[in-house]
Amino acid sequence: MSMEFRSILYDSIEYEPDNWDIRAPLYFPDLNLDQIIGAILAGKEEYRLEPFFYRSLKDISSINYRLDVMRDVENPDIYNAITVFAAGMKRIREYMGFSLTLHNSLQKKKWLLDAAGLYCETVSVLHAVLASLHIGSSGLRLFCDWLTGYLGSDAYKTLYTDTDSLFKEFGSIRYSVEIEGDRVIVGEDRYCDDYCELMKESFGRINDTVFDYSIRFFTDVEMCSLEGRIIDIISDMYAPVFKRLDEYCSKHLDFMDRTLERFVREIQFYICFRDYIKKLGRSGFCFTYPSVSLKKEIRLTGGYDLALAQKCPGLGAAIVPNDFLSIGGERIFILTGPNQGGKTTFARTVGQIVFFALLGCPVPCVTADICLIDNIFTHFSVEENPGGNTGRLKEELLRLKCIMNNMTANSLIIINELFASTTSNDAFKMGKRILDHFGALDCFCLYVTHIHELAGINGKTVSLVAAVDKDRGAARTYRIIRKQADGRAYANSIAEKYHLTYEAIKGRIGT
Amino acid sequence: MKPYLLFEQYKGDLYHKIPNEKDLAEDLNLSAVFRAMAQNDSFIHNTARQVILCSLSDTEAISYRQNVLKDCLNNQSVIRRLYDISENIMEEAAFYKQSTQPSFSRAVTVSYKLRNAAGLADILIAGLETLRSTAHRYKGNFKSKGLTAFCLQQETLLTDDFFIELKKYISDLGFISEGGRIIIGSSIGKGLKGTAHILRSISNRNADNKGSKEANRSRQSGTILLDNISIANNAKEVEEAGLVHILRLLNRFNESVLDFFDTLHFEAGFYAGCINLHNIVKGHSAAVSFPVPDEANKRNLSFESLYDLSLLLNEQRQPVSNGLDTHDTCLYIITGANQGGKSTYLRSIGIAQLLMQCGMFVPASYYRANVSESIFTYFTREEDESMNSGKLEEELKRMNEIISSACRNSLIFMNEPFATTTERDGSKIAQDIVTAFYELDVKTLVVTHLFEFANLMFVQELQKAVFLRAERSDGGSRTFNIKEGEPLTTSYGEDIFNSVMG
Repeated sequence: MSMEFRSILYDSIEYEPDNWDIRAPLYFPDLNLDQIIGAILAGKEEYRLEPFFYRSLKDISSINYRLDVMRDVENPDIYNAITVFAAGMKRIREYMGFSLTLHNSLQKKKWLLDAAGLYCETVSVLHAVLASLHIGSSGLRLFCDWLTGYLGSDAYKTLYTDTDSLFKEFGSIRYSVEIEGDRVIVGEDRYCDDYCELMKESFGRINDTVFDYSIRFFTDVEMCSLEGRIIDIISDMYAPVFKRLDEYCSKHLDFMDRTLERFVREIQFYICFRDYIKKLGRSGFCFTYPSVSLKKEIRLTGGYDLALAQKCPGLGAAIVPNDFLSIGGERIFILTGPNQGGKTTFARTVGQIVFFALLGCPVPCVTADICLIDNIFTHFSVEENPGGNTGRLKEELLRLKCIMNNMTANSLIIINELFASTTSNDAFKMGKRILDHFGALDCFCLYVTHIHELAGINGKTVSLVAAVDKDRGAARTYRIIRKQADGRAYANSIAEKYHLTYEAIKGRIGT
Repeated sequence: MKPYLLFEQYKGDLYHKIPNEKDLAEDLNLSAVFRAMAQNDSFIHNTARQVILCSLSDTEAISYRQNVLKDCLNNQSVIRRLYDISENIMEEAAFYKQSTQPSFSRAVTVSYKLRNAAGLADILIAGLETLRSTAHRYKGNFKSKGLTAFCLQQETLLTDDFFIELKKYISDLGFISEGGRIIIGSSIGKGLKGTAHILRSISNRNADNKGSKEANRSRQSGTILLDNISIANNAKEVEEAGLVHILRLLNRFNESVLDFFDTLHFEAGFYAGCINLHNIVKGHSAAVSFPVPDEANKRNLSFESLYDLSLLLNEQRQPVSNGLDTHDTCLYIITGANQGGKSTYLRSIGIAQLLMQCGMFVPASYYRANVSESIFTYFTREEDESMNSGKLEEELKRMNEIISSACRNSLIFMNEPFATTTERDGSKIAQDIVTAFYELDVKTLVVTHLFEFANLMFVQELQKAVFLRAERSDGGSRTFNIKEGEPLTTSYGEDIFNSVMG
């Protein structure tokens, strides 16, 4: 009997989601993860992979289990073996569909046989190829061992033998259809001439261009009435073969193994992510395997925003990568700087990298050392819609309270322009109280704000600034650096609004 | 299957349209030549025009045609017969196609198309048989590679067996319209759908009687009566699918044979035209000879008793002829008396060169020249007296077009270039252009009134240049002969003035 294999996505039963009807986490839109997951899953809709992206992993071994499989899939031979297998399984499902939905009962049975035939071929090819390759991950190794056991099982061997012998019997049938006036005569094909071939030999003396003269008719999957009648006659002529088909179907109606069905879906998680990496790789964007540990720090170098990257194919060099380094006990990071300086992009970048690391996926940066975060929280305001609106402030505070109730010392919270609807003084006071709370909790916090005074509330906060290039008239560099906040952000944004910055003027006059 | 009468190999665009063909035909008076060749056959007229204006620059290809033409001149009736056979077949086929053209209102079945294609094939096969017997009868008459191979091809390809096979298939196909029997062999594919269909036979319904047929079947078989519309339509679909490749095969055969006859019609038509012209010229007892083409990189021009063919054809009398013997020469500057025969001289060379380069005989007792990869005429139409300054720009535009398509091995005839401006300016422009041609080794013949230009060129003592002059007898009357001589200041306009006024 074959050994147990459950899942290529979960190394242990207890971490499998118990409810597949889960929804996207609340931070998805804030971090533009909905766009990113949408791009990753494009063309893979049939596999319903979204739930796998909605649930972060909760322990390090589960994360490494996936990362190891990801590394294996990076091997093109393994990747190809799996995609060939998946394509085969897709066709098998199509054949199974025919065997369920078509009307002619003989045809339904033959489709089942055809599905099983393709199944045996697909599975044995996958096994042969995987067995010949070096596999590093415990996930794929366990699957291979299971597959070896399955192919050696009596159930599979019987399926294989029955399918193969019946295939050969059908394969040896040649029948002829004679059309003669008002009747069609069906019989055994006792002829050996190919009329087209013979005629071509004669007429080809004048013109010997070759062409494909395979004959095609009745191209619909469903049989037409004449086809049905022809098959009725053939089933009489070859009654024993059709009787065996009957027996075959009642015996092997449910031939497909559940483990393989599950595997072909779950492995797509790796395939689609690999495809996504390759696509961005062609535009010059890199990924790395994150290292997730219990050591409480987040150290990212060369990170970039995936949503931005996938929108800008070919701009790999133009997107500025940034670092996020928590040194020692640093937890609270206050990010200030000019509008359009890359603050929101940076906030999303950090969130995305942590998110994908917790999912057991490669992450969009050069190096990533991340502690096991138990949850990500975000609070992004809609910058484009400011105004003194007390209803909105209340709504913000309610959401914040809900987040604060669920946070732990191992959470990451990303806040982008909180309290935009209040006066700066109020925003400073409220912001300080919230930051004090986070500080006491000892969680990770990235706080994007235009209230630069918050950056200096105490010695424990780290001040980050979206840097400008002074030599070029305060042009944006999109580089986020550790620097004392100075509040210069605003002067520049007014000039920008009227297109009167150094660069803008140069650009306008230059033309 | 191809006739190979005009070409030993068919490669690329055989009759590519040259941009300046209209100028060539007009400047060299070629219409007179085309008319003489056609003798009121418009097809031959077009053929002659197309072939003559599309020069060969490969001396081998030229001698291939020359040899075929020599055979044709010795077997005039055979060539006319090939022309007539192909013409008849083309006409018959066109008539058949037209009469079997289906009305657009109804859907045309494959079997209907097949019947028509078989009918057309019948006509074409009959044509091939006639052609084969003609080739068989006259094959001994020919010496040229082209016509010998043509006859051999007919003999080897169109054998009796071949005709018997073709006719058998055509008659098989006849059964279809009479409700014959079609057998298709198939295998069982996925979902019991038929696959690997092979058309086994098409036969007469009564080919073998029912009894023996049943006996032949080793297993029991079943019969399906086509007793309702839907199942009858299904059967029709099978039949049509089985026949569609037969139709394609037959259509390809028909197209190829039609294409062959079309080409033969064209090629035989050209030689028929050559025969017509040859007989006319001979009728005037004028000289004709097969020219000697030299390779394109040579710069030769020699001839004896060369005359302007268009003048002979138009005036029905033998015009003045000239001789020349030059080697390694790429520039010819012709000056001399007005109406002294300079343009005629230029034209006589142009016509001879074109006729040589299409494989024809030339109007001279001897003609030898290098072939040119492209031939250009740049004539100021003598008739056009209304010259004004706007014309110069027009002229330069034309020169620009020529230069953009010319190459080192081109041949350029210039007749009174840049006469649309002052002599000084015209000479300067002409000198620049002609010097450039000379240095590039482009073969150039220039008739000019521009003494300043001609003299500027003359005093340089150019190695590869020849200066020719319209001859004048001592008494001042023109002989229309062109001889070597340095440019003279006057063009004897005074002579003409005298002869008109005096």
